[in-house]
Amino acid sequence: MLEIRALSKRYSGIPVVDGVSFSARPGEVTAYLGPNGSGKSTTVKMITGLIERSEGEVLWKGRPVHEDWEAFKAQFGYVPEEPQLYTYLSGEEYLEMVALLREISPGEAAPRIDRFLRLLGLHSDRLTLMSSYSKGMRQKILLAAALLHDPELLILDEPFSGLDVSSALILRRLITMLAAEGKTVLMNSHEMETVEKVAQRVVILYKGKVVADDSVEHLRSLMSLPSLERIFTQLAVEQDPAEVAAELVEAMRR
Amino acid sequence: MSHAVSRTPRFGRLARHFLMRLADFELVAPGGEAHQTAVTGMALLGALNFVIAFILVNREVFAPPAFEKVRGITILGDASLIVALTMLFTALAGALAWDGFFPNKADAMTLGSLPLRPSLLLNARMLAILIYLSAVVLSTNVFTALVLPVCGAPGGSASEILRSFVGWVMAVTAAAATVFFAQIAVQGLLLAVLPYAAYQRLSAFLQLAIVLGAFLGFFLMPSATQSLSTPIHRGLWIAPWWFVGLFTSIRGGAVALPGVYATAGLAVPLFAGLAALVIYSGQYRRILRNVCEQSEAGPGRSAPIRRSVARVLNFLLLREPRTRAVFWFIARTVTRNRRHRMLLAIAAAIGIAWAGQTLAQAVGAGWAAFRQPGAALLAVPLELAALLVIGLRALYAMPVDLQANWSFRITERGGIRPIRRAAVRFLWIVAILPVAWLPLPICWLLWGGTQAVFHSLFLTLTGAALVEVLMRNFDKLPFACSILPGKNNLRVTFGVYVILFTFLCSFVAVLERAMLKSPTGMVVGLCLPSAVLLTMVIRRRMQEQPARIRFDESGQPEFELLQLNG
Repeated sequence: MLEIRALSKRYSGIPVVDGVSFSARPGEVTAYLGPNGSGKSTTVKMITGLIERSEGEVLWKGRPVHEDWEAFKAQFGYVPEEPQLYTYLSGEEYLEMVALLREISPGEAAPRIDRFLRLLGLHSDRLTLMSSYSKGMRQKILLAAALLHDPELLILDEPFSGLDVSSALILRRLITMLAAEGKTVLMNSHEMETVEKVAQRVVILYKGKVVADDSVEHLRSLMSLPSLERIFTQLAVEQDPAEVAAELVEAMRR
Repeated sequence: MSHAVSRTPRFGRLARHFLMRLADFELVAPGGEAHQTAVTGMALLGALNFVIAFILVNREVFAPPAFEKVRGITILGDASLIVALTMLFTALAGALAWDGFFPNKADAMTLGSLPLRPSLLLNARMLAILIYLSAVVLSTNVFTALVLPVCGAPGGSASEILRSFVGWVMAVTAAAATVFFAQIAVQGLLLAVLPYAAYQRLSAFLQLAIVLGAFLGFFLMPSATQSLSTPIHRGLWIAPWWFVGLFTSIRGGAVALPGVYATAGLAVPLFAGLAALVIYSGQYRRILRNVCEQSEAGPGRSAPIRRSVARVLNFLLLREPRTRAVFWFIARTVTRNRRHRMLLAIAAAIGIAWAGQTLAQAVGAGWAAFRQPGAALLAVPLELAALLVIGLRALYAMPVDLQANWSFRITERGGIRPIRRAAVRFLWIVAILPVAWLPLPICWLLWGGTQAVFHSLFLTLTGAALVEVLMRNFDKLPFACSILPGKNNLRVTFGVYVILFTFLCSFVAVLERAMLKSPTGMVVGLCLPSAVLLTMVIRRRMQEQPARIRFDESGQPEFELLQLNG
């Protein structure tokens, strides 16, 4: 189980993430939601060790991860929010590099990479530099890189970003299957409909603080609202969408 | 009228944008900030020009009376050196701005969707190119343009000085324009005849060829003082002489090159400029229209030889997976990243040109000079290896796509050791082993087996010691860690190391020549660097902590940037 305990991040004393606590259990998909700038990606980067935490702890299987970062890093797969890649490498070269960095032997990695590329529809572009990949293609490469070493924990930051409908459907199914296998999945997404379908548990973050942490069903019945989107709007959306849209139309003409 | 008013700010803004694109490289300014790049680049070129101007003035002021007799000839030498320098820096500036001349996909995507006429874009881009060329010519000649015409005027009257000044400005401008416009014309022709992917692949090699050619041309060019005794049909092959001829023809005076050089000095830049204009304006619109549909070059399926070499390297030196991953990451970054490729090309080109000059001098002294391993010959591979190693070491510290380094951060394992091993082995494979062992057959033929093998072994050991010195505190992943502006001021450290090791190379070459004279000397010559190397390795291993990779730089800078350019 992944446990987050009172995790905080401050920049020049200003809290971006403020005492966040929640847990993600094996066999479940935990969705970590919030509006832009609420601190979702900062939390994820602290969990993965990409940025230092100001306070709090991250525990994996009951042990603080900072005691042995390397062992923890070997056990998770990560898809970052932005597809930042070395774009002068081809997709195949990048996956080969990640496999070697994950200490997967080339004999084992090559057929696995080949299969991933075929299944994700990238095989014909495997030798093309990633600089000419579309956002969706880069996202697929990131997904393949995260899954290469068969991790126990999957941390997916906006994994559906840029994917076409069929790829998104495949990913949705994949996430459900991996969770059913007993893997722990922590996922950020703005796609409420998808989250509602795949996540068992939802954590909603607003201005750096957790405002809801429960199962989707329980939240629905608790708040007497029909959908996750309505729950999210109630808890974490300040502005009335219709009103802002109307003002934007007006702003276009003045 | 209202149309003209609305057009001017857009034109200016576009020209400025294109100008910044031409100066968009991080070679001379940290972060690649275009304004700072332009100021720093011009300041560096201007500083070099100031030194030359200062030497000229100093010589004129303190020249003995006898100097008057040879002044005319000496000025020819000075003029050819400055013209050659102008051509060298213009060629380098053109190679660095290569990707900014013609529209690319980003231009087509961003500007193509805006309501802008293609002619507006074309004119703005041409203006930017002309400003860029002018900035290079100006900063390369700002001080000497004032000094040389005065020193070189045949008499002291105002009209003679004015003619000399006009002649000189025309000469350096024509020299720069020839090199610059020829590059644009060649680039446009390639774009016209090749598919985009093939053009991209070829243009990478062409940029390297330009850099190498520019340095070789500069180092191997004979001075214009020899032009007076060289037959014209041979002298016409030496481009800088055309422009020195143009200068002397306009200036007049007793010491002047034959008029045919001046004709070439006028005709060639005009032809190059015209060709560039026609090709550029013809190709610009076509490229802007088509570039979005073109597929970009990829690495493709490796050639069998390349695959075999990779397999051998993987088996012999890169068995550990992380070392292998980082080694190939280094190799691909150096060969595919434009900035790193150009920097390495510049270091290699200086080394090769330097070696070429030494060899040319040896050829000039007669083939007998090659029969003995003289200090100058022995220093050639040392200098080449030193320049490559220092150049690569400087490159390791320069980050590429820093935000993409999360791939390494989340897979971090085993500390710095496998990373360091990969970085060191890359230096060995690229810079030390080829330079030490490829010339072995030639050295064997010239000097005999014992001396040739000693030379290669000695070079290997010395190179290894150099690598050990330069990598002693290495705790970063090449290209993937941040640098604190000022802490690693590469322009300063690179220059200091190059000067230091160049002197050291000459000293080591003299030492090697002495050792080659006797078997005892050769034994000492192998034992000494081995002992030094061993001591350094043992010391490093004893000091080495199980360190983590330092992805983020921290601490106080060694050099504080004054930010005088605002």
